[in-house]
Amino acid sequence: MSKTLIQDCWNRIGVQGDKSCPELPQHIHCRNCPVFERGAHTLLDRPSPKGYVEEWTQILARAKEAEVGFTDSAMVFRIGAEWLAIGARICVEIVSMRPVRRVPHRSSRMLMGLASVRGELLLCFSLAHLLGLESSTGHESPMRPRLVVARKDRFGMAFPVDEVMGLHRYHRDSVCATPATVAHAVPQFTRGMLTVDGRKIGLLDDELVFHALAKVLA
Amino acid sequence: MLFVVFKAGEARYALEARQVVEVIPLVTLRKCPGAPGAIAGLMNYGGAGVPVVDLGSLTGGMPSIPYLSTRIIVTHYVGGEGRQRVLGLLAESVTNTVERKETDFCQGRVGGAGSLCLGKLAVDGAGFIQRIVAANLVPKELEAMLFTEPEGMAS
Repeated sequence: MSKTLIQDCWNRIGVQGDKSCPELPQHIHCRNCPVFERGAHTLLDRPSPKGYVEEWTQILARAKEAEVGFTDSAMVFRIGAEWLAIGARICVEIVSMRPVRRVPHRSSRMLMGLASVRGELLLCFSLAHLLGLESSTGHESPMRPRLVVARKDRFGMAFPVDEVMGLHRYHRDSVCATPATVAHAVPQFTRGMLTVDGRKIGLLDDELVFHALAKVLA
Repeated sequence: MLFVVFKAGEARYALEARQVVEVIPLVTLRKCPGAPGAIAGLMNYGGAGVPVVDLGSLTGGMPSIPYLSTRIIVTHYVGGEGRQRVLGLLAESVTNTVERKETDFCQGRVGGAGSLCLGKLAVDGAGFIQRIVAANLVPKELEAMLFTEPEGMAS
Protein backbone atom coordinates (compact mmCIF):
# COMPACT_ATOMS: atom_id res chain seq x y z
CA MET A 1 0.00 0.00 0.00
CA SER A 2 1.44 3.34 -1.01
CA LYS A 3 2.02 5.98 1.61
CA THR A 4 -0.45 8.69 0.83
CA LEU A 5 -0.18 11.90 2.72
CA ILE A 6 -3.51 12.78 4.31
CA GLN A 7 -5.08 15.78 2.61
CA ASP A 8 -6.21 17.65 5.71
CA CYS A 9 -8.65 19.90 3.87
CA TRP A 10 -10.65 20.26 7.11
CA ASN A 11 -7.73 22.25 8.52
CA ARG A 12 -7.39 24.46 5.43
CA ILE A 13 -10.83 25.09 3.92
CA GLY A 14 -13.07 23.29 6.40
CA VAL A 15 -14.38 24.14 9.85
CA GLN A 16 -10.85 24.38 11.28
CA GLY A 17 -9.71 26.58 8.38
CA ASP A 18 -11.22 29.45 6.47
CA LYS A 19 -14.51 27.59 5.82
CA SER A 20 -14.30 28.24 2.08
CA CYS A 21 -14.94 24.61 1.08
CA PRO A 22 -17.74 24.45 -1.51
CA GLU A 23 -18.99 21.22 0.06
CA LEU A 24 -19.32 22.71 3.50
CA PRO A 25 -22.86 24.18 3.20
CA GLN A 26 -24.10 20.77 2.13
CA HIS A 27 -22.48 18.80 4.98
CA ILE A 28 -22.72 21.59 7.60
CA HIS A 29 -19.71 20.22 9.49
CA CYS A 30 -16.59 18.42 8.29
CA ARG A 31 -17.41 15.43 10.42
CA ASN A 32 -20.36 14.68 8.12
CA CYS A 33 -18.21 14.79 5.00
CA PRO A 34 -17.06 11.58 3.25
CA VAL A 35 -13.58 13.06 2.74
CA PHE A 36 -13.18 13.46 6.47
CA GLU A 37 -14.47 9.93 6.99
CA ARG A 38 -11.93 8.53 4.56
CA GLY A 39 -9.25 10.49 6.37
CA ALA A 40 -10.31 8.92 9.63
CA HIS A 41 -10.18 5.45 8.13
CA THR A 42 -6.67 5.97 6.80
CA LEU A 43 -5.59 6.60 10.39
CA LEU A 44 -6.10 2.90 10.90
CA ASP A 45 -3.85 1.99 7.99
CA ARG A 46 -0.76 1.84 10.15
CA PRO A 47 0.95 -0.81 12.21
CA SER A 48 -0.63 -1.59 15.55
CA PRO A 49 0.98 -0.13 18.66
CA LYS A 50 3.31 -2.25 20.73
CA GLY A 51 1.56 -4.91 22.77
CA TYR A 52 -1.79 -4.40 21.02
CA VAL A 53 -1.86 -7.71 19.18
CA GLU A 54 -0.65 -9.63 22.24
CA GLU A 55 -3.27 -8.01 24.44
CA TRP A 56 -6.11 -8.86 22.08
CA THR A 57 -4.80 -12.38 21.61
CA GLN A 58 -5.16 -12.87 25.34
CA ILE A 59 -8.56 -11.20 25.61
CA LEU A 60 -10.07 -13.23 22.79
CA ALA A 61 -8.62 -16.47 24.05
CA ARG A 62 -10.74 -16.19 27.18
CA ALA A 63 -13.50 -13.79 26.09
CA LYS A 64 -16.29 -16.34 25.90
CA GLU A 65 -16.36 -17.55 29.49
CA ALA A 66 -16.78 -14.06 30.82
CA GLU A 67 -19.60 -13.14 28.48
CA VAL A 68 -21.60 -16.31 28.58
CA GLY A 69 -24.72 -16.48 30.52
CA PHE A 70 -27.11 -13.66 31.11
CA THR A 71 -30.53 -15.10 30.51
CA ASP A 72 -32.73 -12.82 32.58
CA SER A 73 -32.70 -9.51 34.32
CA ALA A 74 -34.32 -8.37 37.50
CA MET A 75 -35.11 -5.02 39.07
CA VAL A 76 -33.50 -4.71 42.48
CA PHE A 77 -35.20 -2.65 45.17
CA ARG A 78 -35.38 -2.26 48.92
CA ILE A 79 -38.31 -2.40 51.31
CA GLY A 80 -37.31 -1.56 54.83
CA ALA A 81 -34.06 -3.39 55.50
CA GLU A 82 -34.73 -6.09 52.91
CA TRP A 83 -33.30 -6.02 49.39
CA LEU A 84 -35.48 -7.81 46.86
CA ALA A 85 -35.61 -8.38 43.11
CA ILE A 86 -38.47 -8.91 40.71
CA GLY A 87 -38.40 -9.88 37.02
CA ALA A 88 -37.57 -6.81 34.93
CA ARG A 89 -40.03 -7.93 32.28
CA ILE A 90 -43.02 -7.05 34.40
CA CYS A 91 -41.68 -3.62 35.42
CA VAL A 92 -43.12 -0.91 33.23
CA GLU A 93 -41.58 2.13 34.84
CA ILE A 94 -40.32 3.57 38.08
CA VAL A 95 -41.76 6.92 39.03
CA SER A 96 -41.38 9.27 41.94
CA MET A 97 -43.56 8.66 44.95
CA ARG A 98 -46.95 10.36 44.72
CA PRO A 99 -50.11 10.53 46.77
CA VAL A 100 -52.07 7.30 47.01
CA ARG A 101 -55.81 7.93 47.36
CA ARG A 102 -57.76 5.49 49.43
CA VAL A 103 -60.67 3.67 47.82
CA PRO A 104 -63.71 4.00 50.10
CA HIS A 105 -64.71 0.71 51.69
CA ARG A 106 -62.11 -1.24 49.72
CA SER A 107 -58.77 -0.04 50.98
CA SER A 108 -56.98 -2.32 53.35
CA ARG A 109 -53.40 -2.60 54.48
CA MET A 110 -52.74 -4.64 51.36
CA LEU A 111 -54.62 -2.46 48.89
CA MET A 112 -53.39 1.03 49.60
CA GLY A 113 -55.56 2.81 47.05
CA LEU A 114 -55.19 4.48 43.69
CA ALA A 115 -52.24 6.40 42.33
CA SER A 116 -52.17 8.42 39.14
CA VAL A 117 -49.30 7.68 36.75
CA ARG A 118 -49.37 9.58 33.48
CA GLY A 119 -53.09 10.03 33.79
CA GLU A 120 -53.76 6.36 34.41
CA LEU A 121 -55.19 5.33 37.74
CA LEU A 122 -53.35 2.32 39.05
CA LEU A 123 -54.15 0.11 41.98
CA CYS A 124 -51.48 0.53 44.56
CA PHE A 125 -50.51 -2.44 46.70
CA SER A 126 -48.29 -2.74 49.70
CA LEU A 127 -45.65 -5.33 48.93
CA ALA A 128 -44.26 -4.68 52.37
CA HIS A 129 -47.47 -5.90 53.91
CA LEU A 130 -47.77 -8.89 51.58
CA LEU A 131 -44.26 -10.00 52.43
CA GLY A 132 -44.53 -9.14 56.09
CA LEU A 133 -41.73 -6.57 56.01
CA GLU A 134 -41.26 -3.47 58.11
CA SER A 135 -41.29 -0.59 55.67
CA SER A 136 -39.74 2.80 56.25
CA THR A 137 -37.36 2.06 59.07
CA GLY A 138 -35.62 5.26 58.09
CA HIS A 139 -32.55 5.04 60.24
CA GLU A 140 -30.08 2.80 58.40
CA SER A 141 -30.18 4.08 54.82
CA PRO A 142 -31.37 7.25 53.17
CA MET A 143 -34.91 7.11 51.87
CA ARG A 144 -35.41 7.35 48.13
CA PRO A 145 -39.01 6.23 47.86
CA ARG A 146 -40.24 5.26 44.43
CA LEU A 147 -43.39 3.86 42.97
CA VAL A 148 -42.83 0.83 40.75
CA VAL A 149 -45.38 0.32 37.98
CA ALA A 150 -45.71 -3.32 37.02
CA ARG A 151 -47.90 -5.08 34.51
CA LYS A 152 -48.59 -8.72 33.84
CA ASP A 153 -51.18 -10.02 31.42
CA ARG A 154 -52.79 -6.59 31.16
CA PHE A 155 -53.18 -6.34 34.93
CA GLY A 156 -51.37 -3.16 35.80
CA MET A 157 -50.58 -2.12 39.34
CA ALA A 158 -48.08 -0.16 41.37
CA PHE A 159 -46.24 -0.71 44.60
CA PRO A 160 -44.09 1.63 46.64
CA VAL A 161 -40.51 0.76 47.51
CA ASP A 162 -38.01 2.54 49.72
CA GLU A 163 -35.17 2.51 47.20
CA VAL A 164 -34.37 1.19 43.72
CA MET A 165 -30.89 -0.06 42.98
CA GLY A 166 -31.40 -0.75 39.28
CA LEU A 167 -31.39 -3.70 36.94
CA HIS A 168 -29.34 -6.80 37.59
CA ARG A 169 -28.59 -9.31 34.86
CA TYR A 170 -28.07 -12.91 35.80
CA HIS A 171 -28.04 -16.43 34.46
CA ARG A 172 -30.97 -18.56 35.48
CA ASP A 173 -28.62 -21.29 36.71
CA SER A 174 -27.01 -18.85 39.14
CA VAL A 175 -30.21 -18.54 41.15
CA CYS A 176 -29.75 -20.55 44.33
CA ALA A 177 -32.34 -22.02 46.63
CA THR A 178 -34.02 -19.91 49.30
CA PRO A 179 -32.99 -20.72 52.85
CA ALA A 180 -36.00 -21.85 54.85
CA THR A 181 -34.91 -20.12 58.02
CA VAL A 182 -36.08 -16.60 57.20
CA ALA A 183 -38.82 -15.51 59.55
CA HIS A 184 -41.09 -13.36 57.39
CA ALA A 185 -43.19 -14.33 54.39
CA VAL A 186 -40.52 -13.55 51.78
CA PRO A 187 -39.52 -17.19 51.06
CA GLN A 188 -43.10 -18.04 50.24
CA PHE A 189 -42.98 -15.64 47.30
CA THR A 190 -39.42 -16.15 46.07
CA ARG A 191 -38.06 -18.24 43.29
CA GLY A 192 -34.58 -18.25 44.76
CA MET A 193 -31.69 -16.08 45.83
CA LEU A 194 -29.55 -13.84 43.64
CA THR A 195 -26.13 -12.56 44.56
CA VAL A 196 -25.90 -8.85 43.81
CA ASP A 197 -22.75 -7.00 44.89
CA GLY A 198 -21.99 -9.80 47.32
CA ARG A 199 -25.40 -9.48 48.92
CA LYS A 200 -27.96 -12.28 48.90
CA ILE A 201 -31.24 -11.01 47.49
CA GLY A 202 -34.57 -12.77 47.26
CA LEU A 203 -35.87 -13.00 43.71
CA LEU A 204 -39.65 -12.68 43.87
CA ASP A 205 -41.80 -14.94 41.76
CA ASP A 206 -43.93 -12.43 39.87
CA GLU A 207 -46.52 -15.11 39.13
CA LEU A 208 -47.14 -15.70 42.83
CA VAL A 209 -47.01 -12.01 43.76
CA PHE A 210 -49.55 -11.04 41.12
CA HIS A 211 -51.76 -13.95 42.05
CA ALA A 212 -51.72 -12.97 45.71
CA LEU A 213 -52.49 -9.35 44.92
CA ALA A 214 -55.29 -10.22 42.52
CA LYS A 215 -56.86 -12.27 45.29
CA VAL A 216 -57.10 -9.15 47.42
CA LEU A 217 -59.50 -7.66 44.87
CA ALA A 218 -61.71 -10.71 44.71
CA MET B 1 -29.13 -6.25 3.30
CA LEU B 2 -26.17 -5.15 5.34
CA PHE B 3 -22.69 -6.04 4.17
CA VAL B 4 -19.32 -5.79 5.83
CA VAL B 5 -16.92 -4.35 3.27
CA PHE B 6 -13.18 -4.86 3.24
CA LYS B 7 -10.17 -5.02 0.99
CA ALA B 8 -8.13 -7.99 -0.10
CA GLY B 9 -5.24 -7.25 -2.37
CA GLU B 10 -6.34 -4.13 -4.20
CA ALA B 11 -9.98 -5.09 -4.68
CA ARG B 12 -12.97 -4.48 -2.43
CA TYR B 13 -15.22 -7.25 -1.28
CA ALA B 14 -18.41 -7.59 0.72
CA LEU B 15 -19.66 -10.25 3.05
CA GLU B 16 -23.26 -10.45 4.15
CA ALA B 17 -23.46 -9.23 7.76
CA ARG B 18 -25.82 -12.07 8.67
CA GLN B 19 -22.94 -14.51 8.28
CA VAL B 20 -20.68 -12.50 10.55
CA VAL B 21 -20.35 -13.45 14.22
CA GLU B 22 -18.09 -10.55 15.09
CA VAL B 23 -15.17 -8.53 13.83
CA ILE B 24 -12.09 -8.75 16.02
CA PRO B 25 -8.63 -7.21 15.85
CA LEU B 26 -5.77 -9.15 14.39
CA VAL B 27 -4.40 -11.62 16.91
CA THR B 28 -1.30 -13.77 17.02
CA LEU B 29 -1.95 -16.87 14.95
CA ARG B 30 -0.53 -20.33 15.32
CA LYS B 31 1.06 -21.11 11.98
CA CYS B 32 0.05 -24.28 10.21
CA PRO B 33 3.15 -25.53 8.42
CA GLY B 34 2.39 -27.30 5.21
CA ALA B 35 -1.07 -25.81 4.84
CA PRO B 36 -1.82 -23.87 1.66
CA GLY B 37 -0.68 -20.25 1.70
CA ALA B 38 -4.17 -18.87 2.16
CA ILE B 39 -4.48 -20.48 5.58
CA ALA B 40 -2.98 -17.86 7.87
CA GLY B 41 -3.12 -20.15 10.88
CA LEU B 42 -5.21 -21.00 13.89
CA MET B 43 -6.42 -18.49 16.43
CA ASN B 44 -7.42 -19.14 19.99
CA TYR B 45 -11.02 -17.96 19.96
CA GLY B 46 -12.54 -18.36 23.38
CA GLY B 47 -10.51 -21.46 24.03
CA ALA B 48 -11.18 -23.14 20.71
CA GLY B 49 -8.88 -23.32 17.72
CA VAL B 50 -10.47 -21.51 14.82
CA PRO B 51 -8.80 -21.53 11.40
CA VAL B 52 -8.16 -18.16 9.81
CA VAL B 53 -8.09 -17.74 6.04
CA ASP B 54 -6.14 -14.81 4.65
CA LEU B 55 -8.40 -13.33 2.00
CA GLY B 56 -5.48 -11.35 0.63
CA SER B 57 -3.61 -14.52 -0.26
CA LEU B 58 -6.75 -16.30 -1.33
CA THR B 59 -7.90 -13.67 -3.81
CA GLY B 60 -4.84 -11.77 -4.91
CA GLY B 61 -1.83 -13.70 -3.82
CA MET B 62 -0.69 -10.87 -1.52
CA PRO B 63 -0.93 -11.62 2.19
CA SER B 64 -2.77 -8.95 4.21
CA ILE B 65 -0.55 -6.27 5.71
CA PRO B 66 -0.90 -6.29 9.52
CA TYR B 67 -2.29 -2.80 9.93
CA LEU B 68 -4.71 -1.69 12.65
CA SER B 69 -7.50 -1.83 10.10
CA THR B 70 -6.59 -5.39 9.19
CA ARG B 71 -9.01 -7.45 11.18
CA ILE B 72 -10.42 -10.91 11.51
CA ILE B 73 -14.03 -11.34 10.48
CA VAL B 74 -15.40 -14.27 12.45
CA THR B 75 -18.05 -15.95 10.31
CA HIS B 76 -20.49 -18.79 10.48
CA TYR B 77 -19.32 -21.49 8.18
CA VAL B 78 -21.39 -24.46 7.19
CA GLY B 79 -19.11 -27.36 6.53
CA GLY B 80 -19.44 -30.32 4.24
CA GLU B 81 -21.85 -32.35 6.38
CA GLY B 82 -23.93 -29.29 7.13
CA ARG B 83 -22.18 -28.75 10.44
CA GLN B 84 -22.12 -25.24 11.77
CA ARG B 85 -18.60 -24.04 12.31
CA VAL B 86 -16.71 -20.85 12.89
CA LEU B 87 -14.14 -19.55 10.47
CA GLY B 88 -11.93 -16.48 10.68
CA LEU B 89 -11.32 -14.32 7.62
CA LEU B 90 -8.32 -12.05 7.63
CA ALA B 91 -8.86 -8.93 5.52
CA GLU B 92 -7.64 -5.36 5.18
CA SER B 93 -9.57 -2.14 5.78
CA VAL B 94 -12.40 -3.76 7.69
CA THR B 95 -13.80 -0.41 8.74
CA ASN B 96 -17.19 -0.11 7.15
CA THR B 97 -20.53 -1.61 6.37
CA VAL B 98 -22.83 -0.82 3.46
CA GLU B 99 -26.50 -1.32 2.80
CA ARG B 100 -27.10 -2.95 -0.58
CA LYS B 101 -29.97 -4.78 -2.19
CA GLU B 102 -29.62 -8.35 -3.38
CA THR B 103 -30.37 -7.11 -6.90
CA ASP B 104 -27.47 -4.62 -6.80
CA PHE B 105 -25.16 -7.55 -7.28
CA CYS B 106 -25.86 -8.24 -10.91
CA GLN B 107 -22.57 -8.54 -12.76
CA GLY B 108 -21.67 -12.18 -13.20
CA ARG B 109 -18.77 -13.56 -11.24
CA VAL B 110 -15.36 -12.75 -12.62
CA GLY B 111 -12.64 -15.20 -11.83
CA GLY B 112 -11.21 -18.53 -12.81
CA ALA B 113 -12.11 -21.97 -11.63
CA GLY B 114 -9.99 -21.56 -8.53
CA SER B 115 -11.98 -18.63 -7.19
CA LEU B 116 -15.20 -20.33 -6.23
CA CYS B 117 -15.59 -18.14 -3.20
CA LEU B 118 -16.01 -15.01 -5.28
CA GLY B 119 -19.58 -14.10 -6.04
CA LYS B 120 -21.33 -11.45 -8.05
CA LEU B 121 -20.22 -7.85 -8.42
CA ALA B 122 -21.95 -4.61 -7.66
CA VAL B 123 -20.97 -1.18 -8.89
CA ASP B 124 -20.13 1.11 -6.05
CA GLY B 125 -19.00 4.73 -6.27
CA ALA B 126 -15.28 4.10 -6.20
CA GLY B 127 -15.37 0.90 -8.22
CA PHE B 128 -16.67 -2.60 -7.74
CA ILE B 129 -17.46 -4.60 -4.69
CA GLN B 130 -17.60 -8.33 -5.03
CA ARG B 131 -19.55 -10.64 -2.80
CA ILE B 132 -17.77 -13.40 -0.96
CA VAL B 133 -19.52 -16.74 -0.92
CA ALA B 134 -18.56 -17.98 2.53
CA ALA B 135 -19.63 -21.55 1.85
CA ASN B 136 -16.91 -21.93 -0.78
CA LEU B 137 -14.09 -20.35 1.19
CA VAL B 138 -12.42 -23.56 2.24
CA PRO B 139 -11.67 -26.23 -0.36
CA LYS B 140 -13.38 -29.45 0.57
CA GLU B 141 -10.16 -31.43 0.98
CA LEU B 142 -8.85 -28.86 3.45
CA GLU B 143 -11.96 -28.94 5.56
CA ALA B 144 -11.17 -32.28 7.16
CA MET B 145 -7.76 -31.00 8.11
CA LEU B 146 -8.83 -27.64 9.54
CA PHE B 147 -11.95 -28.60 11.40
CA THR B 148 -11.12 -31.71 13.26
CA GLU B 149 -12.82 -32.69 16.44
CA PRO B 150 -14.06 -29.68 18.41
CA GLU B 151 -17.82 -29.94 18.28
CA GLY B 152 -20.44 -27.46 19.30
CA MET B 153 -18.03 -24.61 19.01
CA ALA B 154 -19.23 -21.13 19.89
CA SER B 155 -21.55 -19.78 17.30
